[in-house]
Amino acid sequence: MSSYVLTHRLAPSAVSIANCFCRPVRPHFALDNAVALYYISATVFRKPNPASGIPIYLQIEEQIRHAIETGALAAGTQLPSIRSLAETLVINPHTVARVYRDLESEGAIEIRHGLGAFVAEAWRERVRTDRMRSAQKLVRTVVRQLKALGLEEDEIRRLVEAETSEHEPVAGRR
Amino acid sequence: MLLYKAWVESRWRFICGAVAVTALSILFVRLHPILIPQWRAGLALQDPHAIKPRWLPLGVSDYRFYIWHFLFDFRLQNLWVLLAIVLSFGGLLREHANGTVAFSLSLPVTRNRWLISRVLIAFLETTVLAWIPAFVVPIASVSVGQSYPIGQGFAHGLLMAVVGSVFVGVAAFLSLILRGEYTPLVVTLAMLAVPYLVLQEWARRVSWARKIDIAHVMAGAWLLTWRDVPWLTIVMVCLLTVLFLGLAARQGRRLEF
Amino acid sequence: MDTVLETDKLSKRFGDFEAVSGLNLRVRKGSICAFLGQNGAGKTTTLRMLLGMMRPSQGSGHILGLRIDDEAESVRIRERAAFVAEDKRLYDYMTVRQILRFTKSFFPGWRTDRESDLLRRLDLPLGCKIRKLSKGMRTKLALLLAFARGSEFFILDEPTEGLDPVATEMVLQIVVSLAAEGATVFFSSHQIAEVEQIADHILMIHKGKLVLDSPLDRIKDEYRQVQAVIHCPVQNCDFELDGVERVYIDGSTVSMIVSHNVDAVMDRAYKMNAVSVEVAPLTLKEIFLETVKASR
Repeated sequence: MSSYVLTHRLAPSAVSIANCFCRPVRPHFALDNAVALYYISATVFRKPNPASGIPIYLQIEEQIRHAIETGALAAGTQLPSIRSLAETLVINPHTVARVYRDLESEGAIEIRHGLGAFVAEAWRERVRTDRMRSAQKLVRTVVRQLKALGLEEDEIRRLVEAETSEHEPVAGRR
Repeated sequence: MLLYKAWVESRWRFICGAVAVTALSILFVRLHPILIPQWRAGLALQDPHAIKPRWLPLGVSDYRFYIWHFLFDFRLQNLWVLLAIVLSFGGLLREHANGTVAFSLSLPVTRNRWLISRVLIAFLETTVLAWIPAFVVPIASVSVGQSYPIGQGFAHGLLMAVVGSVFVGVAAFLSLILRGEYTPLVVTLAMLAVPYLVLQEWARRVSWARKIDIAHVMAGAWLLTWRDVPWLTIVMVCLLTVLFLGLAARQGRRLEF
Repeated sequence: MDTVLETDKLSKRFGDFEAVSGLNLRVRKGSICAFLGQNGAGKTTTLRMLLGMMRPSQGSGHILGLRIDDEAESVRIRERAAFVAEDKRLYDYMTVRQILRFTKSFFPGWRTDRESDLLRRLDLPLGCKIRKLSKGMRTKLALLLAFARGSEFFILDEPTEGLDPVATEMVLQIVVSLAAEGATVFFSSHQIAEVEQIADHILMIHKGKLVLDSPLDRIKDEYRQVQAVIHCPVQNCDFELDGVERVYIDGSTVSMIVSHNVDAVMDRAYKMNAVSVEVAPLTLKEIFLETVKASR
């Protein structure tokens, strides 16, 4: 697959995926688009492991969600067709169809009739909000448990700071 | 394309057969100038204990009788029957033995069509073989200073091929009964060629045996004319061929792989 | 039509031996359906009956609405459904080019685009006589001759047998693209990993009978291994519940293979004062091995 990509001159928009995951892909020509989608299929998606305990559809869904969250698939990017993704990953087309259906009902992607599947615009923000909410619940539970153990709020705060300053802070995203 | 396949599968057998028929025809033509003086001398001898076949005087005097006797009544006919059997064996059971039957049966072709295409090619090939002497003998005869009418060659060839078609039918039928790649051939040869030869030898001595002797029918009269043709016998033999082909078709449809 | 293959109590008997008995198969259109079973379980006999190579002793079968035991209809089946049997030998006196021409002549819907694409990808030499090809190349050629027919239904017996991993992946990819175009694929395989990768429905045969008929998703969702630690003495019959396929007891550990109803099984374990109950998923291979054992 990679040899296909390498033997064709990558158009600037396709190169942008390779170099920087920040800029969204704006394919201009049909070939450009095909190369870009092919490249996405080959690099963004890893072949699932059928023998792991996690069903294949869940593995792919998680990959796509992760790609959207990290920005590897920017909002508005076109996803590969069901057939194309099934062929690249060598999995059942029904599985891919299910993945796209599930993600669409989650709001992560939009399926535009006749055009294909696209990453939804506002999903990243919604995911972050959801994540903050679950994080908040977790913190509340932990703090309550620590208080039940007998710690004071100062001690808890010091523990949290020690924990977070021990490691290099992860590069924040705006 | 089925005919093409049947042809390709029997191509080498046919070519070898054609070479053998040609060689045999030329051989007997070339033997003529050698044998005739010997026979003449033998006839001249008034030895009461010498074996003198009744046809010998005719054989000495008429070249056409000589050719008919040795080729269409004797050696060529034997060779032809052998070749007819060899060219007719094959088919789905043989493909089963060499493993290609699964592919053949995956094609949208009825078992009847498989049989018909094979048998058709066998008929064509055996007819061509039967007609080779019609060309070869007249040409070769020139080299020994004789001439043989092409018409007689064709007529005898056709008679041999038409009556001999029963061997094609039986061989095709036995090919679908006996499993194995070469077993059907060996058994068919044993079952057909051996009794055929035995019957032929026997018919030479016993006159009434000629009535059931297919070899005799295949040879016909030494000089064929429209009046001489044994139409009834030919029709009956052809019906027999059709019967065997019908049995082969039925067997082919019933086979399980 | 929704069902491309269905059989009704399909059976085959050889003398006293019942190779296949009462098989009720159903394969839906667009599905990639895997047919699993041990050697000698009746897979090949079933496929031979579907192909028209053998006649059923009892029962009937229909492919694309046509009867498998009537020769005229069977020929019509073969016009629209492509078969590749276990024995993939071809006419070894022909060259690759010749057998392509030969096969093409029977199928007006032959896909020349697919033919040239596959010739290139599978790297088959056109001018080479088939008798000179290696076994792997013969398999690839046999598959190509089926894939290019433009059929709507493919029945493949061990399609990747003898192929190297690269070729295997290529064949699986082709199967996937056929299904994506709307064709249905019914294949038998011993390579469980491949089956897990591309199949959406599983049919399992054991000793001539159908022992499993389920979408793969449902199997993966419902089959579980339940491991409980119970310090009081327990016996197998304590866990005779609907859904429990096998029970293994070793000291305090009870390990169960459960095909459905996991919650009820967990409840039973807790009722028996289990100290811990762990539920883990099962691979298709483990499910296959257990199903075959359980059906004895």
